[in-house]
Amino acid sequence: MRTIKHYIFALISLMGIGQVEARSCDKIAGNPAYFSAMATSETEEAARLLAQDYLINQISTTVQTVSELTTTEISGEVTQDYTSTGTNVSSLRLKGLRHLVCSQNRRNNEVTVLVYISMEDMETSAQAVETQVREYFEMMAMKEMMGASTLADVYFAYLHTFLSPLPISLEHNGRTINDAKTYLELMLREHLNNVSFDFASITPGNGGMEEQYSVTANIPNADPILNYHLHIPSLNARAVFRGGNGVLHVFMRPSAPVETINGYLSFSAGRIPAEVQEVANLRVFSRSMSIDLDFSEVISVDFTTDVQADHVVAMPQLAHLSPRSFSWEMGNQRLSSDQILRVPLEDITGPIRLVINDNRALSVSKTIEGVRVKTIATAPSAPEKSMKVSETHAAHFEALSHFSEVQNVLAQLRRGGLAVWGKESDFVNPKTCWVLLVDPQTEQVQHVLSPHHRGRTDIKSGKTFNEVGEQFKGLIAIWVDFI
Amino acid sequence: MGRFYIAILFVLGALMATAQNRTQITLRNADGSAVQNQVQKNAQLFVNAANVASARGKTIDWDNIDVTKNARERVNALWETSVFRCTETRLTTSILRLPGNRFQVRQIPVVVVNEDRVDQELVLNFSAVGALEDVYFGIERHRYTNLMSEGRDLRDFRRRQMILDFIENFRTAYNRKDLDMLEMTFSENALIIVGRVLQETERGFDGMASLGDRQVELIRFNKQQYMENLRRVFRRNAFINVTFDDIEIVQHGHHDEIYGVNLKQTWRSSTYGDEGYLFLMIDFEDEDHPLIHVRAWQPEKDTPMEEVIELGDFDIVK
Repeated sequence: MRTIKHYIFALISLMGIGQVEARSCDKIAGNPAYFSAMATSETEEAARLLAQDYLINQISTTVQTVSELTTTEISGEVTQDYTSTGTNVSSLRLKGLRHLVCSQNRRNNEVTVLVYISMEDMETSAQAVETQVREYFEMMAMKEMMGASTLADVYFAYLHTFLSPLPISLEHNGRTINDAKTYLELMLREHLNNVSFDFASITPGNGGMEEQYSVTANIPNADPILNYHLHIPSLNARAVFRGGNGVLHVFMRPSAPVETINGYLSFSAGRIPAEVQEVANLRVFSRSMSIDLDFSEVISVDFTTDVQADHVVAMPQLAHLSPRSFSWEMGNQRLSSDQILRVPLEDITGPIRLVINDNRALSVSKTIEGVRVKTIATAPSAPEKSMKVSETHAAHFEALSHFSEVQNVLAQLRRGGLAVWGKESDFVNPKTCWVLLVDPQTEQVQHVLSPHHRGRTDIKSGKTFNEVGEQFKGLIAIWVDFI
Repeated sequence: MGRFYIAILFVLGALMATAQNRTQITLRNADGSAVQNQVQKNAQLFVNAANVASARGKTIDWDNIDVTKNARERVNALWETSVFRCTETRLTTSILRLPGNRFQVRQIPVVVVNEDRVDQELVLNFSAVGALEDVYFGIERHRYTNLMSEGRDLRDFRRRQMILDFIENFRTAYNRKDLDMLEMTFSENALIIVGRVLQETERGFDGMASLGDRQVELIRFNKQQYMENLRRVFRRNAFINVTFDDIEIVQHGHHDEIYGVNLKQTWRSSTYGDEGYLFLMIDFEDEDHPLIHVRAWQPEKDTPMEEVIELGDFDIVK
């Protein structure tokens, strides 16, 4: 008897609750003091989670396109992450989220659930996040006073703003910030955009690892607390710059003195607080960047010649270079595009130039006199444009041997308005000048030095000199600048 | 008439001496509130009083300076061994907030006018009403900034501030031979380890004595033994100057209130000088009275880096 009574009471209670909840659902859904969302599904749990997603989606106004949803629930505290097809992310922390079962249709196996949060609870949720963000700003202000780095704090504060369902406004250094998230994001973007690299050296590997280069670089304006991550997807290369210093290991064969590689730069700030780890995973700050790697210090272009009976065979000797094309030239005439040149000795009327990859900066020129070979100019590191120009200029001086010839050539150049000459002190930028060095005793032209580009190349000996200095003491120097 | 001239010259001379020893302090970020104005005024009065006292070879005249009794005693004790004066005539620095609405003014360059003439940076702490409540020598500016930059959140930042405050106060305690403060700082069961260099002389295969690697023997003291040794050292030396560099702060993985501090200590005194690695295990369970449970010193020259004592070397049972 007691058991029957118990069942009847339970049934009435359940009916009562059902009716009360249905009424409450209507009341809450139409009450502006609540944010609410309703969903129907096969089970109460599924309907609740669905309604929860709708609600958070409705509250979050920062994200336009939602392509992925993940929900984590930790004892009544819900964190919802949205990831757009781009990079927009919004993560909300809502305390005081409640739900009601509005209707239950057992025949159709349908449960409708209303999930809601009061304005008051939402403001409390926002307040909790705001307190954390304020603390970061307070710490930032103190660190600024000390002259200490604050970017890691800017980053952490920024990540925390994603937890708030309402925009956070606060005072900082006497200024009102209406939306802390935007303010902090701007600071981070500005920093990242201003990061630049200074590449100190490129060192090729050894012992069969010649194609692996260690690129040592530093970031002059690095923040001391942040770690910078450089990722070059095309080369599958990554480097971390700590304290602004790092080494990028790339596996490649350059085909030009300067190779442009594209990558992404991002940063990290050490241990990320657990509550924003998820946001940090989704919200990666990165900036695409193009980096010019200058291989001219390691690349070398040369060729060997072998006189076989009445033929000359020339073979390229390349280091740290990926050849895509070969061009053997003599003056304006193209002799061959084969890798190995074979040319009758009698056909050789001037210097032979090897050009790699149609790049004048990757070329070498040699004169072949019988069996004697003389390198005229080796300048794989010079930029293409300047090589073309210097090559034309070099032609004026290549055949000079006596001072009288120098006088003639210089007179012609002056008549044509092509060049001026004088002492070193006559020129504002003597580095751009050619230097003709004549022995005053014999009046013979001893050296013809090209303009200074990582040293001066003597087109007579093929040797490179850093400066016109002590070793040319006693010789007369004529400085020629092409106009 | 002649006496009149002498009097005028005397007054002028005194005025010139005062002017030469005057430091004008500007707190760049002061908010103009009454309490911060009071901090600025007290900082300037104190520094100038120290300048004048240093120039005249006298004790500090505390008139007009709002100072706590404790601070006055500590500075007077410090003055016994370390007379200092500010090297700047115009100084712009910042006012920092400390826990408990207190304030701090750092980076006041001073020269300690004792036998060594050491450059130091003075740190002044002020109460919530702007009274001078402590004075000590700070750690190097760049290092301080770096250590504070590493503060992860406001709590960690505050803790670091307290640790550095504690470290700076701890080192200045040696300057002022403050046995009471040091006694209070060490817990009753503190473990004190001091490294002593042993000259290892081994017999080589040829029977000749060869000089092997110098080894360091770690000797254990209890608090009483250590304090007694310190008392003797303080008695023997007219001045003691301790400086700390390369400070590293590590929080214990399980016990948040326990911190390990590793640093390089340079000890200079009238009779002795050395350099060594100092490790301190500090317990912040009572944040107002942090305690040192372990103090370990190892000679820098003969201790490889991997043998430097650190927090991970200890099992903590609480």
